[in-house]
Amino acid sequence: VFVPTPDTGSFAWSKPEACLWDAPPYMQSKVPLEARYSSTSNKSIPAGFFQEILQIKNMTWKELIDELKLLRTLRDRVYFEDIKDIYLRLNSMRLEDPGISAEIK
Amino acid sequence: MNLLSSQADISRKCFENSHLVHIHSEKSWKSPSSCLWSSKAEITGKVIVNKQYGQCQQKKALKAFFVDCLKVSEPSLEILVEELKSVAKPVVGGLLSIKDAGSAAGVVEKAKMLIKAINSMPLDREVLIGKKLRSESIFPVKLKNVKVLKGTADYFSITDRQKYHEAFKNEAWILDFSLEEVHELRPFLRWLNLEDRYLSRRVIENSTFGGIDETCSDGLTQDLRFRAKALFRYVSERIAKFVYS
Repeated sequence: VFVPTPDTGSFAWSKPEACLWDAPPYMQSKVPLEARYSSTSNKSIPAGFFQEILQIKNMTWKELIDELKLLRTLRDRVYFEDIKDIYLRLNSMRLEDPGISAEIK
Repeated sequence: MNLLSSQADISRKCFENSHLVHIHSEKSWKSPSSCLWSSKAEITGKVIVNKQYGQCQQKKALKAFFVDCLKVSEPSLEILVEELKSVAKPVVGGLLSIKDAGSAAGVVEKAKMLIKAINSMPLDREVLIGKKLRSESIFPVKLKNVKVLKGTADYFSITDRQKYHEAFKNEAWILDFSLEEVHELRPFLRWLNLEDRYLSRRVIENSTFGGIDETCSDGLTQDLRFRAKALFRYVSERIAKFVYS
């Protein structure tokens, strides 16, 4: 998957499994694909191709937990505002789906 | 792990095991169980998180996340009482004045904060008795500029009249709380059975005449007038009650 980088004009290549579609732009543990495309191009994004053909999923709360685990290893190279945002996202996800998730081991 | 755990339960476990609460001021990461959302007094080994997460625009949602999801809360009465007992330990038995050691003053101030925090909780007599608070040297007292912690076996009084406080502050150990603070602390003092230590219950006023000749004192005259009035009102009320009954 072609991954454009905002501002610098450079790019990278990534496997579909390493990408998430709808995810916050600061994410480091996975590539936030939609955010990368929408920040670099005004043209329409082939969302259907990424989401349906390549099966790139939207972020869930589990990826947010993984992101926190990654940030923890980065010591002081973290942004407080990003961490706050992750907590807020976790909270709203919890409220949206307070029910039971049975898929957890 | 339970197959039917909710997202909140699993999140909490992840936060606990991997220490995912970011403490920005310390540049560290903590588990929810070593955090408190807020506290009127500091607790050893616990970080108070509302200083950084409860002051911003989204404080309501962040509070919900910490308190409801991560179960980070305020300290319980038990935690406060335990902390008070452990704070008291280093000063017991030693007379440490403010001049001698700044740390002693710090300990006394911490005990005062904890007592205020305990007082602001719904007081559970069972906890206070169960924790044997009455037998601990946890009471901040002051004599001149010396501040120490004493226990109920020691002699100290409690300010409930400013006049008596002024008269005895350089003579006797007095609980190191102002008149207003003592007023607020009434529930705590009542639960610990300390009401017989109020200065008003201990001081006996005697009138004596030590002068040589008659000099007019406005202050004493005023005082006598006040007492005569009070005495008159008291007696007349008693007579009225007696007559009507």
